[in-house]
Amino acid sequence: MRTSLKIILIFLLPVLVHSQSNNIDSLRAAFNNAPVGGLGFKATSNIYFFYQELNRDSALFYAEKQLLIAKRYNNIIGEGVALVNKSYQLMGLGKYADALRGLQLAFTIAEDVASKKEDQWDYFFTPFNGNRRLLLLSYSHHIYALLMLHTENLEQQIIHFNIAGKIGKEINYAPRVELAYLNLGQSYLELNKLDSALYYEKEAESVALNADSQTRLLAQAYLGTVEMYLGDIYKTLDNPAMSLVYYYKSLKTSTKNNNRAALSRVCLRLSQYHLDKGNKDSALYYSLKNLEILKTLGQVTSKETNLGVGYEKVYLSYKLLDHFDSAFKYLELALNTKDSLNKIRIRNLAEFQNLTYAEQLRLQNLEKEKVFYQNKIRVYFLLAGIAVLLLLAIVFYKNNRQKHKAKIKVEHAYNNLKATQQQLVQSEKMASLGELTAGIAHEIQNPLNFVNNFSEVNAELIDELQQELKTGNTEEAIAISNDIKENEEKINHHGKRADAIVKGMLQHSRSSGGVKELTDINALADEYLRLAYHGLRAKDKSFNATMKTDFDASIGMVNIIPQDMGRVILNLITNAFYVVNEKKKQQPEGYEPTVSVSTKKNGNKVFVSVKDNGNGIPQQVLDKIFQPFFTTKPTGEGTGLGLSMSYDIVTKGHGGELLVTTEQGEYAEFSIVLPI
Amino acid sequence: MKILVVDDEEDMQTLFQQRFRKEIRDGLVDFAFAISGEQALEYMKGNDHEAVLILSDINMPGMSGLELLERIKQNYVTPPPIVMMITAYGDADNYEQAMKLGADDFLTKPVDFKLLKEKLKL
Repeated sequence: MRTSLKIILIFLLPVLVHSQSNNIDSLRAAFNNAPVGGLGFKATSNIYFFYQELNRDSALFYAEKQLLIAKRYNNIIGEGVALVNKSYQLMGLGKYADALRGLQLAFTIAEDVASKKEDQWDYFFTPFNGNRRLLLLSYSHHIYALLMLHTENLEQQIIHFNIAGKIGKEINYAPRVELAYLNLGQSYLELNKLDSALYYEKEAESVALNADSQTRLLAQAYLGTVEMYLGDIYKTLDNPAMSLVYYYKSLKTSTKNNNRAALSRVCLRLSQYHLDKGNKDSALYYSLKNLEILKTLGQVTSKETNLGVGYEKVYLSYKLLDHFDSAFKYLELALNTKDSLNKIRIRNLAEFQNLTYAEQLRLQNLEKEKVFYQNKIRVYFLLAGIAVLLLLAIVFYKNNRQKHKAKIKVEHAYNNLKATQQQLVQSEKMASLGELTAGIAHEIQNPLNFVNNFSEVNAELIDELQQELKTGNTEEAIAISNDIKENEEKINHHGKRADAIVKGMLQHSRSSGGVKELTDINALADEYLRLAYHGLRAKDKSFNATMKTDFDASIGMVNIIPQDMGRVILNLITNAFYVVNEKKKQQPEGYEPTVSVSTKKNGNKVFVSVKDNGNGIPQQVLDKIFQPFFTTKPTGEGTGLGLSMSYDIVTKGHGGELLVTTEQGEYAEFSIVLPI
Repeated sequence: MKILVVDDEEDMQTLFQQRFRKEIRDGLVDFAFAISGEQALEYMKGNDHEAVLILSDINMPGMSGLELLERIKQNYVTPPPIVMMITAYGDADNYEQAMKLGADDFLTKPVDFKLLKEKLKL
């Protein structure tokens, strides 16, 4: 019995004809008088719906007409609806391959979001103002699911009924929901999931009965089928009484709706029911009624119901009645028809399977192409990504390189500057070497001038002295000898002067004879401060100055050449005393000559500062103070080598710096900066 | 002949007086001395055109000999005194600069007094 339930065909679908209010003559009149466009399509639709479950050939004819009209008016949704209608009829006629082709076209339209012709055409029997494209999509899925049902693909049918119902709910269109539930119930019945089957059929019944006035007619067009399936479910549940109740309900409803296909199926079930019960007359009645309807429906090749099955039931009924002549006649008809229908069905299924196989291949290829395309896209994106990354990398790299270049440039510039500075220092040194030679010339030539000339003069004077002595002019002789003596002193003095200069130069040129040793620089500074002060006091009794010291005890021992650094400190202090003494001579009133010596540790550097409150150093002189032989002291008082020597000792000998800060009229401060 | 000797080395005065003691004694020459450029200009202001010859050192504290030369040649136009530079700086730079500024002669230290006397035609 379950196998007979298996195939359902025909009935479902949208709108059934509601025949009572529209008879075919008035429909034809409307069709003939219909103007073009939407009204023409509507008139055609009405006739199609009239024939939908009455005669498949006629229905197919009008579906074709719909298609023509829709195409002529370029109404894409209308075209889709016509295609599905056509497929539905083809499917009912067993032409599964053709049905599938039509559905594929319909899906192309329904799935293209561009297909939304907002016209007022009525595609179905009831007005609908929602998204017509989605309605078409739901319809397409539904018919496709039915096709799956006919071709016994249970899995696919459930999937597509579900989709159809879901879309129907989305667009809030009751008939589509009801039909989806109807067929889902049938599918679960087939799976013998009776709870689910019952649930869906009850839902379908509820949706149909509660539909609003607008959609009620459509939603209830297949109510008879719902009732029939409920009967099937109760039958399977071993509840023949409930089963019979629903079969009779179904009979009534489908008769009222003029749903002949549904009527045929329920008659088939009733005939079987009565055959099983042995109700001979009733069995014959319903089997003959079924046969009659089947003959008017057109070629039906479904497994569940077809002309062969119809003949068979009649044969069985006559057999039960013991009308053997009739029984034999119908047996023969049944066998022949079944045989030929089976052949047709097998041929149709084979054709369908070929198509679906080809379709699968096509889909596989499509999928492959899609995958290939996706891969291609992915590759492009990847490439684009890589390109972008590369670009970024290049930008960063360039940026970096520019920075690097800039850095190199800066470094280069810095190096250049350093080199230039070194060159400057070098040329300064060369200049000072030139000055040194000039200085040597000047410093040596001057004393030599006296030495040479006075000795020459003395030679002359000695001649004269001898002359005077010969003549006995003692007085004159003594005067001359005094001159000679004076000159001799001058020769000696200038000779020593030259000697001092040469010695100073030698000291200057000697880079370092001493050895570095850890020295208490505070003690060193203090010692030389006293040395300088007392040295000056010894020379000049009037000399006096205030000494201030500020020693940083945290310095500790510093690695220096003590005698060299001592000479520098001594030189700086001597200079300081000299300038404050000079200033005191200029302005004896209110001036307190002060020399401050301080040490300080700052990070990894030690500062030794000697500050005086003298007149400061004029700017034009400041550039020259470290040059050899430069001196502001009167001729003979200084060699001009003190600061230049100090500079060399600090910078070359100890890798330090000798800095000056000064303010004219206020102070001068020399700082020795030593690294530790 | 009045000769002004400008040099910061004071021993130059003794030297000149001794070297020219015969000429001085004979009244052929008379010396005046200045120990700086400033002093020399001061002297010339007070003794207008007395000195016909000026012998000047170049390297002096304050106004240098070359500055003095320039001032003399600018200020004393008619007739400008003869200026002879006597310097320990015997280098080309100093010589050229002195000549450019209008020096009449250039001698180097140690002074060759024999040569000087020849130049002075004494």
